[in-house]
Amino acid sequence: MSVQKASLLTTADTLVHQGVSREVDVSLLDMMALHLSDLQKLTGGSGVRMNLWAQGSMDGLTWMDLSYDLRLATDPGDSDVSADAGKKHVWESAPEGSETQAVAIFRQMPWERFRLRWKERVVAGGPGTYQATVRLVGK
Amino acid sequence: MRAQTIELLPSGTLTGSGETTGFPVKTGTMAVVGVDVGTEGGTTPELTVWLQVSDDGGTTWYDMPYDQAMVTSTGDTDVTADTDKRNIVDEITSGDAQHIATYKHLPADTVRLKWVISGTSPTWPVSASMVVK
Repeated sequence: MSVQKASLLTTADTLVHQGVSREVDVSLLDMMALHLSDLQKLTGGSGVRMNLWAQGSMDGLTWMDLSYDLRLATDPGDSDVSADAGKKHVWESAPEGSETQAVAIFRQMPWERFRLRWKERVVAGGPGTYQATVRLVGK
Repeated sequence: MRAQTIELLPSGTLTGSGETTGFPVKTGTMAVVGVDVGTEGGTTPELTVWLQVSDDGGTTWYDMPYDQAMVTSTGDTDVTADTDKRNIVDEITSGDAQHIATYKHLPADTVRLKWVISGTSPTWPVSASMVVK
């Protein structure tokens, strides 16, 4: 199968509180990856975090949180990377904004539609605003 | 699909950090990358090699995690369980080994190999290829 691409979030999207991204038809895909870049917290204190994760749907009405199979994140100023121990959040913003880029791979895609969901977790100093560029690449 | 072999890096000697050109993999769904590293030269040389993927034909690059990796040296055969799952060649200071990484899924349209070299006047004989299908 040839490669299919879609943009879910761009730098023109400001993430606040909670919400969902554009939806993508993934009915023809066997597998896919999310390419995340420009990850940063724009405003907010050290106690705010943004969590971003994937959701799949069979009918576009009911959505289920998805777990990824493999994830790799890149820290700024450091060539080192780490594989996330969790399997849900494709991005968990840290107060210091330690990640700028990440890849999350989903091995099977038994879904009709796909989207991202985000929700901010405020401990103190919130709410904050966040930015992320997320592109879907599938085959 | 029939397997396709891509010569990522022809046999030669690397003396500094760099990356290959991009190679299209628009229909490939899985891959294995082999990196053959010869005897190093220089003072305290270090070499790290990994695969990058792109979804826009080679403008933006992302580090790609592998599923499995293995190192075969002349004196031993070793299987690594690298926690970061990125580096095919992981900060080695001595060569004479083959490094292999398997990618069970390849959701990308373009791939390339990237490497970082440090040390004083370092030299690393390296060749690398990729089999995609």
